[in-house]
Amino acid sequence: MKIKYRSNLCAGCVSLIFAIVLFFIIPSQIGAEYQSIHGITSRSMPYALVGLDIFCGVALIIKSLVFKNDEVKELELTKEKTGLLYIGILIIYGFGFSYSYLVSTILLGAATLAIMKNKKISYYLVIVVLVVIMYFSFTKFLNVNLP
Amino acid sequence: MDVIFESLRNLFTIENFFFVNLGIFIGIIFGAIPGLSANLGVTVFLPFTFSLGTVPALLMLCGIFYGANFGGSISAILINTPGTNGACATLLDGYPMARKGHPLKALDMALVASTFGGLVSAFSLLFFSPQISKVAMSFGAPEYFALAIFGLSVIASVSGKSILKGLVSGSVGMILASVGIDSISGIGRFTFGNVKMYNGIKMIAVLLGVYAIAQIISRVDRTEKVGEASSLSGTDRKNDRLTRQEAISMIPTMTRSSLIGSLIGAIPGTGSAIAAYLSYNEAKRRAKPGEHFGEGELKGIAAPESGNNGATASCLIPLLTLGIPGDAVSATLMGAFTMHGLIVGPKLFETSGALVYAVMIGSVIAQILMYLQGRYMMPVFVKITHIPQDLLTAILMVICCTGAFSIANSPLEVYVMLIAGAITYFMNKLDFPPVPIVLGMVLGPIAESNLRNSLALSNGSWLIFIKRPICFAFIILTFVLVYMLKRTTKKNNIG
Repeated sequence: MKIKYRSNLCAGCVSLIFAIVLFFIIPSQIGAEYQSIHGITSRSMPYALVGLDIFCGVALIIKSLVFKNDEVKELELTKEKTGLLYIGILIIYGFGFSYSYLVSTILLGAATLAIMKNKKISYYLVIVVLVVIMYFSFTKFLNVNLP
Repeated sequence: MDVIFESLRNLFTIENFFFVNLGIFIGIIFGAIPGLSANLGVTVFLPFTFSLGTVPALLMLCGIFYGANFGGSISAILINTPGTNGACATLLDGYPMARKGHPLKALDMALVASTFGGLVSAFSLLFFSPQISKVAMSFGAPEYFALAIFGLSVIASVSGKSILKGLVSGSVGMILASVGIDSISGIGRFTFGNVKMYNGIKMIAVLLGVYAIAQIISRVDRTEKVGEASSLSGTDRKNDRLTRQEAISMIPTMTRSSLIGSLIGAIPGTGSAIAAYLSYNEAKRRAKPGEHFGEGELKGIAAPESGNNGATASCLIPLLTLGIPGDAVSATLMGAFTMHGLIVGPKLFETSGALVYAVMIGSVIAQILMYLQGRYMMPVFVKITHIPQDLLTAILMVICCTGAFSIANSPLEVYVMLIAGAITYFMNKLDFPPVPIVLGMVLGPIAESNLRNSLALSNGSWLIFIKRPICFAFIILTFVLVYMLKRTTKKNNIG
C-alpha cells in the first residue's frame, strides 16, 4: 500500500507544529530571569527560533498551496513498517543498554541482521566477537566504563 | 639560530620518528572510528608518554591529533559517518564520490588535501605565530558573533532544493545546542528535570545520529543502501586513483581552504568543523559551471579537508604564544606540555625555545609522515567497501553505540544518538537537509552567547557590529556570500 503526500505542505505543517510545541514548553523549560542583558534573556533565542520556524512553516505552506510549487512523494507502507519496527527495537535497546552493554548490543546487532532477513550464521558470529572485543578493549584499555 | 640548530638536534632521532609515526597511526584509527576522538586518543595515551622524553612525548601526542583529523574523513567517505566533527563537511562530496565507484580517489584527495592543509598550518605555526595570534586576539564578542553569522550563511549553500527547509533544520540544531546550563545566565534550558542534561548535548552524538543511525534505519527498510561502495569490488583500482593533474588543479582550492583553516584554528573557541564548512562554502561559491557540489565533486573534498587540517597545528598558536587553549584537544595538550615541564605562554620561547621549535618543526614533518602512512594504508581502508552491506550495517550500529557511550562515559549520549537518528529519518522523508542541523549546533551557541556579550559591552547598542572593522567586514561578507551562492546555484541550474 502506498501513501502520497506533498513534501512542502507536510514540511510546513511539521515546522508549524514544532514551533507551537516549542512555544508552549519554553516557559516550563527555561526559568524566568530577573536580569536581562538589554532585553535579551535565556528565552530570547528559543523564542526567535519559534518565530523563524513559524515563518518558514507558513512560507512552505503558501509555496505549496498558493504557488503550487511542491513535489508529490510516495511512502511505501511495507517498507515504512520495517523502519518503524527498527526504531522500536532501538527504543528497547535504549532501555536495555543501561543494564548490560554486552547482552543488549549483541542482541541489537543480531536484530539488525535479522530484520534485514540475513540468515548467514557467520555474520551473527562476527557481531558477537566484535561486541566482545569492543567491550574488553574499551573497558580495559580506554577506561570506558561500559555497563 | 643556535636555538634552531639545537632543536634540529633534538628532533632528528630514531626515537622521535618512531613515536610520531606511532602517534599518527593511533590518531588515524581513533579518527576513523565514529565516536572516538582526537581528544580521547590524546587523553588515553598521555600517561604512556610520561616515561618518554619531552620531544618524543609531545610529538606523539601531536601526531595523534593530526592523524585523527585525517582519520575522520575515512569513515565519512566510505560509510557516510564522520569520525570526527571536522569531517562532517567531507562527507557531502566524499560519500557520493565513493558511491560513484571512486572510493580510492576520494580518499586520495582527502589525504592530499589533509597533508596540504596540515603543512600550511604547521608552517603558520612555525613562522607566523606572533602575527596570527595578534589577529586572533583582536577577536572580541562582536567579531565572534559576526563570524558565527557568517558561518550560518553556509546553510544557504547546503540546503539543497529549499532554503526554508534548511532554516528549519538549522533551528533544530540550535535548539539542541541550547540544551543544558545557559553559559551567560546559569539557567537550565530544555533539561526536562534531568540532571545529566545540565551538561548539554554532545555534538558528536548528534552527528552519529544524523548521519549514521538515520542511514542505518533507511538501510534496514531498504530505502537506502549503506556503503553501496561495497558493490564496487570489481572497480578498476588503478583507474580509481587521484592523478597528478587532478591534484595540481586543486592547489588553488587547497591553498585558500588551508589559509581559512589556519586563521579559524588560531581563533580560540572555533575549531575544525567551522573551518571545514567555511572552506567548503568558499569552494562552492567559486564553483565553475559544470561543477556539481554535493554529487561527488573533487573540490568538495579538497576544500573541507584542507580547511579542517589547516586548523590543527594553528590551534596551537594561541596555546603556545599566549597560553590560551582554543579547544578541548589543545586544553589536553596544554596539560601534556605542563606535565613534560613546558609552561606554555608568552615566556615559553625564552625558557624552552629549542624544545618548542623541535615540536613545531616536528609538526611539519608529521604531516609528511601522515601522508606516507595514509598512502600505504589506503588499500587496507578501502577493504571496508568489500564488507557485505548487511554485515557492514550491523557492525556500524555496534560501533556507533559503543562510540557514543565513550564520548562521556554515559548512556545519555547513546539515547541522544538514537533519538537524533530517528528524528533525522523522519526529517529525510520530508526533504529537510541534515547538514544545517550540525551547523546550527556548532554555530548557534557561539552566535547567541557573543550577541549577548556584545550588547552588554556596548550598553545595548547594536551599532557595535558596524563600528568594529573586522565585525563589519564579516557582516558585509555574509551578504556577499549569500548573494553569490544564489547566483552560482542559479547559473549551475541553468548549466
